[in-house]
Amino acid sequence: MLDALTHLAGGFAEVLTVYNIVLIFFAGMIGTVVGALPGLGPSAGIALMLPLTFGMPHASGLCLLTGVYMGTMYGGRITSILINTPGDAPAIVTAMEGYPMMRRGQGGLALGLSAVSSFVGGFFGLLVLIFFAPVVSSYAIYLGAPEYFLLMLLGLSTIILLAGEDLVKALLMACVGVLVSTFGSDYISGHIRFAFTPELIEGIDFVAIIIGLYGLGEVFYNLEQRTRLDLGRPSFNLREYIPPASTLKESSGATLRGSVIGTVIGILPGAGATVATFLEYALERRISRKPEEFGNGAIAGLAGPEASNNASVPGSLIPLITLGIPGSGGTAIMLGALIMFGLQPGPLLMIKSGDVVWAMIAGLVLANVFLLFSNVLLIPVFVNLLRSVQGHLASVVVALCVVGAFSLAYNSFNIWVALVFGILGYLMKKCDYPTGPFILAVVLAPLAENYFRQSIMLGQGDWSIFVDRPISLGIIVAMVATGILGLVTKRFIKSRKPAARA
Amino acid sequence: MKPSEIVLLAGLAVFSGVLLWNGLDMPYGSAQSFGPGYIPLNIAVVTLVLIALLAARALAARRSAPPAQAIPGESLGAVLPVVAVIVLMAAAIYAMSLGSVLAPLGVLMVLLSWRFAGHPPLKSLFVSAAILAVIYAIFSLWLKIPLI
Repeated sequence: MLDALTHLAGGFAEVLTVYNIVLIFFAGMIGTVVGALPGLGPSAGIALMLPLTFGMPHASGLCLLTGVYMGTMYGGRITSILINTPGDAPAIVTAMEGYPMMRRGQGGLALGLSAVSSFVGGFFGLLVLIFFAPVVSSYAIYLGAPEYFLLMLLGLSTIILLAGEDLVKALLMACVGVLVSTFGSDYISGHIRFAFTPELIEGIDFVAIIIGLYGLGEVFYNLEQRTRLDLGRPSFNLREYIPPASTLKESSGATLRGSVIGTVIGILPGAGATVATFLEYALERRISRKPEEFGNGAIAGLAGPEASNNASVPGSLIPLITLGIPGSGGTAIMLGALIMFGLQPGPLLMIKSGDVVWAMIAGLVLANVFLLFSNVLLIPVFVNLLRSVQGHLASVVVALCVVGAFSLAYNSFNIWVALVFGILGYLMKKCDYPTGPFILAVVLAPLAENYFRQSIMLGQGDWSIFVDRPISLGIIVAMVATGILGLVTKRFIKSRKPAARA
Repeated sequence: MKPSEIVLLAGLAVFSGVLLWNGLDMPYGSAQSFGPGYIPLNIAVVTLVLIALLAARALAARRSAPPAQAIPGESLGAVLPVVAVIVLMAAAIYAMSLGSVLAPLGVLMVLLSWRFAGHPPLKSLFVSAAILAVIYAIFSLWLKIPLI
């Protein structure tokens, strides 16, 4: 532990120059703006900044890229809360709780609270990255396809909690989500599935789906309901945007739980942050004394998943730094950057190029602090921008959705996709079909399918592979125990209620 | 069941039916593992069963409900603007495939603001132009995304 602190101090010594501090500050701001734009996420942000790092010292270049990465995670929540248009999968839960708060005139508070939770989550993740990265990664290598499949299954099981009042409707939407995710190349056999047009060979872009489902779906629904927003006049009173102590106290437990879940699950490649945010949301809903508030702007439902989301950034860097395994699009580009700088990602990176890696980690710590302050200061700007265009919000949202969908592949195909899912989102909202199970299935089903088929191939057709391996058996036991505990608790509460009434 | 729910379920039934039909041509599995047709085929069947279940449930509820509690229909007047915007958007996207993204988007924004949000035409034009200018500056000039 002392070793880690000594290395970190060395990292700070390298990073704490005027040039690097200004660079990290602007990287965070640029990341926030890019993350706030629908259709653009961490991968786009890092890719955009990559050419700027040519010729920079390695530590400065990596600080710029990780600062942008962290900034996009902060920025992703802005459009989720203000216009119900998440830019990526982990921001969906933020929209589920943040947007209802915005409609109640608490958009500033929702943004402030999510900024604080994001900071705490990011900070916790960084602590784990600093002190436990080698330990955590040494366990991560024991996870194989069966364990990953079971973890995806665990993520998918939260559908029951996202179901709302009608489980059949939730299951139907989850099945439709699975079907949507099967379009395109099958990664195991190479078979092309349902490529009715050449663009579908790569599958349906997930971001176009969420842009349509949430952004356009909301516009269509509000058009029918003739909803008029009344967010008040522009105001720069900071008290409106900084969460009061009572709200912070109320959200503290959820933020801490979210930080732990985000860091641990964020390490998983593929959908770590998504699984973490949905699992955290499900956990908060289950343990809440007021579960009826979830979906209507619950403080814990916003704070916990936001903390998970940002805690997963350092979490996803752990396998990248210690094993050379990128867990997401963003970290894959980071891997490219490491190679571009002449560094060798893998177990020897910390030994051979420890100075650069520790400087990057120190840069992340600085970026997290800068981002908290810059984001709290930016909240009035974003909220007042929204207030000034609230009468024209439908056309603003449509414009952002169209441009965001176009940016995904620079063609109109994804705009058509967004329109189709906009219609679906509108009908789902109108007829009370939950969007959570659908979107969760779209994200996790392809990963679950691949891991499932890999596991069966690994076991040569034998299903016992799931119980033969100690970690996968442990996950199964944990899942069954959680399910039984949930049922028993439900029955216990039900039996207590009539007794209490009597 | 509301007409919009019937439209939704019918659409989903057609979607899963098409995938089921196409999934029949895919390899279902081998001795070692499952093929690419395994998941689509089974999930499409489950989807159709769930749709049938929801339809049967709605039918049973309708039969058992007294006439006074019949589910209220939907106002066509309320749905019409949504259909009109969807048609307008489809036309705009088609126009975008011919070249510029910003020009059809601008027309769509002005129409949305003027005809559907009820703002005066000049105000709609001015606000839409201002928003498009910001979008152009961010996406085209800064991020180099070819919107024009």
